[in-house]
Amino acid sequence: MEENGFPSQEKEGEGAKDALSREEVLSRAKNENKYGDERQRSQMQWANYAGFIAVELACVAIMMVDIFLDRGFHPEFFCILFTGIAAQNIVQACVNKQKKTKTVFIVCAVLITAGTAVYWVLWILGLCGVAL
Amino acid sequence: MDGKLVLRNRLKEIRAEKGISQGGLAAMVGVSRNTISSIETGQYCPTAKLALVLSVALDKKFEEIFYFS
Repeated sequence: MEENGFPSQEKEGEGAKDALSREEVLSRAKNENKYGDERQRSQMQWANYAGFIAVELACVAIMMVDIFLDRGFHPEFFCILFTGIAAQNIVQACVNKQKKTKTVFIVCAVLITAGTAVYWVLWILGLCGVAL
Repeated sequence: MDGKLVLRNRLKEIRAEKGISQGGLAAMVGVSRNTISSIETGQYCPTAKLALVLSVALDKKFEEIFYFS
């Protein structure tokens, strides 16, 4: 019987020696979803990606503002932009190849965030006319 | 022939049949109520793992809940 696109499960019991009981399945599922279910995790990934794009676009916008205000060319924003894009690609490549790359991801995320924050602060201070 | 395979489900009917609320089912499998609601309305397509956990929770065969149309 394949009326719904799924094969029927006629051979019940076959390969079911190590099958978990209903209670065990539900308990493990609950435990796995303790920090958010799969839908919430995919939403978080999307939000992180959108945030990353927003930061990159902000860098571009700041560079444009600098150029239009005749404040000179600031290569550090190019640096953030390309470092961010490169880091994201590296992290993605690592994550696709092996799962145990959380450390790489965390280090990259911290470095990018810290670098971006420092440059933003410097840029705002520059706008306020604070000489460093 | 170029129509997409759409995974649909009878989750709402089966849940109602068993007298389980969305929140109750969500608590059973450890997901949010929104996730159950999104699956029922077809807004979210669950992974095979979650779909199987749902079928275990509702004590139904996979194909009794999920089907293609």
